[in-house]
Amino acid sequence: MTDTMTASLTELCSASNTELRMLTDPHALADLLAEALDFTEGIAPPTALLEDGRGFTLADGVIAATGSVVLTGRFPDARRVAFLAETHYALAAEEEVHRDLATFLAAANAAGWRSRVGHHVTFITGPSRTADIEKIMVLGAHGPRRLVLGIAPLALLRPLFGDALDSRRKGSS
Amino acid sequence: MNVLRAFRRRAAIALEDRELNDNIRRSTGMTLAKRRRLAAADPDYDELREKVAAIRRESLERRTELLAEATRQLTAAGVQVHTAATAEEARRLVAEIATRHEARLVVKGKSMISEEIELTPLLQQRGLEVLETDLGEFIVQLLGQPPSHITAPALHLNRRQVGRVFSDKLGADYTEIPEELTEIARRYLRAKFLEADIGISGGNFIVAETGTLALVENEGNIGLGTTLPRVHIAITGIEKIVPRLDDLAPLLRILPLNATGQRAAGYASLLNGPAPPPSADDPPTHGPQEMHVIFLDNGRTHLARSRQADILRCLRCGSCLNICPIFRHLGGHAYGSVYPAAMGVLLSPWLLPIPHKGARVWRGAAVSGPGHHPGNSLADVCALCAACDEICPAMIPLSDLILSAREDKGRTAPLMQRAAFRLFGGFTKHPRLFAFAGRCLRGGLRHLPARLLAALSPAWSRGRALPPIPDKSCSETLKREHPTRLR
Repeated sequence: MTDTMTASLTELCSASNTELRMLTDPHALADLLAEALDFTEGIAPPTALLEDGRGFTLADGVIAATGSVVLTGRFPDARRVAFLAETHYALAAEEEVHRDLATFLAAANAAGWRSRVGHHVTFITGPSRTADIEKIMVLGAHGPRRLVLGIAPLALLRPLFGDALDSRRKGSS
Repeated sequence: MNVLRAFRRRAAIALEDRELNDNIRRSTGMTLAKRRRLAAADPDYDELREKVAAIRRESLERRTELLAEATRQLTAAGVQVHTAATAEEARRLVAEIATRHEARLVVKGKSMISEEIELTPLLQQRGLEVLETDLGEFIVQLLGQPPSHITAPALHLNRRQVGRVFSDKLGADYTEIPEELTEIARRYLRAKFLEADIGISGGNFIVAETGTLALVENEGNIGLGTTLPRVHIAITGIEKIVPRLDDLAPLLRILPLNATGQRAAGYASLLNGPAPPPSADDPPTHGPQEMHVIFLDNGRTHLARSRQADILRCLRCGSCLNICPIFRHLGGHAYGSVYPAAMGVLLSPWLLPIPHKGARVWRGAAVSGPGHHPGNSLADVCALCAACDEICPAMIPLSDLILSAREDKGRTAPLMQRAAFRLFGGFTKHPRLFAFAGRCLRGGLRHLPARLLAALSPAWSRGRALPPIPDKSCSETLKREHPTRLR
C-alpha cells in the first residue's frame, strides 16, 4: 500500500467510526490477536465468537474507496460473527486491499464469482448504526458497537493462519 | 372514497400538527444537507448518475428476459424462486412456507414491498409473532402505524414520542435519549433474532447474471435476520432485477449517497443462496439453510406498458420524498399509500387493490387495466416544481410522468368538467376570440357583488380574498408596461 492510500483509508475509517490499525510488525499483529480472541500461540482460527461478545473474522480484503471490510462465504461462520459480536475485529491482508467496489466485483466475477466468494459477500463499513430517532447517529444498533480493522502484510499472516489463508487464496489468484 | 378528497382531509389534519411539521422538516432537511455535501464533493457524481440511469433503463427494457435469467441463476444456486402476480398470492406463498416450517416467530427487515402487500397482519392472523426489526419500523409497529417514509419509517416522530411508545408498550423506563432508546430496542429484539424461525427481507437489487440478492442497511438487523433463522424469504418487485454483477458497483454507491448521505452503507450483503450445509467442524448455527425469493408483479407489468413506465427504474432512495415541498409539509401518512411523494404518486395507482380492504377503484369510470384506474392518482396534488427531477439518482423525469398521469386522470373527469376544459382549450387556440371573451367576462364580472363572486369560486375563496377584477388583460398590461419584453 502506498502512503496516500494509507492516508485516505485512515480518513475514511475515521469517518465511518472504524478503528483502523496498520500492523506492520509481528508484535502489533500478536497484540491484536490477543485482544480479539485471547490468541497467543499455534494456528489461529479464521473466525471466532467469544462468550463476552468479542468476535474475530479473517477478512477477504478491504475496499479502499470506502474503508469497507470484505467478508465472503469462504469461512461459513463469518456472517454470524460479524453481526452478533459486540466488538468485531476484522483482519485483512495488505495485499488484498482493493481500490474500489468495481475492481473487487470484476476480479471476483473473473475468478468465477460463486467459487470465489461462496454463498455471500458482505461489505462492512463501520460498526452497526441507526439514525431513526431524529436523524441522530447512534452506534451499536443491532450489530457490533465497535469495528476494529487490522491490516497486516500477508507474510506476517501466513505463519499464523496457515491452511485457512492458503485455501482462501486459491480461488482468488 | 375519492383518493383526492381523502388526501385533502388527511392533509388538513397534518398541516395543523406543529410537532409533525417540525419533525419532518428537520429530518428531511438533515438528510438533504448530508446528501448535498457528499454529491458536491464527488467530481464523478454526474457520470455516476448517468451510469445508474442507463442500468435502470436497461433493466426496464429487458425485464422479461432478466426475470427468466435471474430465476435460472437463483434456482441453480439452490434458492426456491416464486412469482406472485398479486399481493394476495405473495401473502399466501409466505404463509405456506411458514406453515410448512411450523414457524412461530418471524423477524422482518425493513421492506416496503411487505408493507405494499400488507404481509404482517395476515401472518399475525395465522397465529405467528411477526416483529419489525429496523428501529424506525419497530417504533411504528408498536404504534400500529404504517411507515411515513420509505427509508426512514419513524421520520414523523421525535425522541419524546418514541420514549413514550417504549414506556407504554414495552414497559421501559421513560427516556428520551436516542442512545438509551436504541439500546432498549436492541435488547428486546436481540432475543427475538436468536429465537426466530424465519427471517423476511425485501431486496434492493437482484443480479440476473449471477442470481445475487443485494441487501443494503445500516443497523445489522437485516444481516441478523438473514443469517440466524433457518429460513430466509426475500420478497422483491420484478423491477429490481439488474443485468450484470458489475452494475452493483455504481448502484451500491449511489443508493446510500442519496438515501442517507453516506459514502457507503453500513452493510451491503450480496447473497448468492442458502448457506452450505453444516459439516462436523462447522457450527450448525448459521443460516439460512433454506432461501426463498418471491418476485412480485402486483400491477407492475401493466405499469411497464404505460406512459408512467419509467417509475419502475426507481431505486427507493427516498430523495424525491425528502425534497418534495408537499411531503415536507405533510409527511407520508397523508398520501394514504405506503409509497408517498413523486415516486408514490406514480406507482401507487397501479398496485392491485387488496381484496379484504375493498376495491380502491374510483367509482363511475371504467378501469383501464388490472386494478389500475388513472382517476385513482394523486397526480394533481403535485406542484410540478420539478425539484424531484433534479435529485432523482435514476434520472427519472418524475414531473413529466406526473404530468402524463394528470392527463390520463383528466380523461376520466366528469363529462361537464371535460366539456368546460375543451371549450376553454378551444378559446386559447384563437387569440382574437380569447381576447374578446376575456373583455366580455371582465366587463360582466365587475358588476357582480364580491360575495357572489366568492360563492362562485369556493375552493379559491376559502382563506383568501379574490383580487379585484382588472380593466386590462394580462397580455395588454404586459404590452403597455414592458413593450420590449413581448414579441
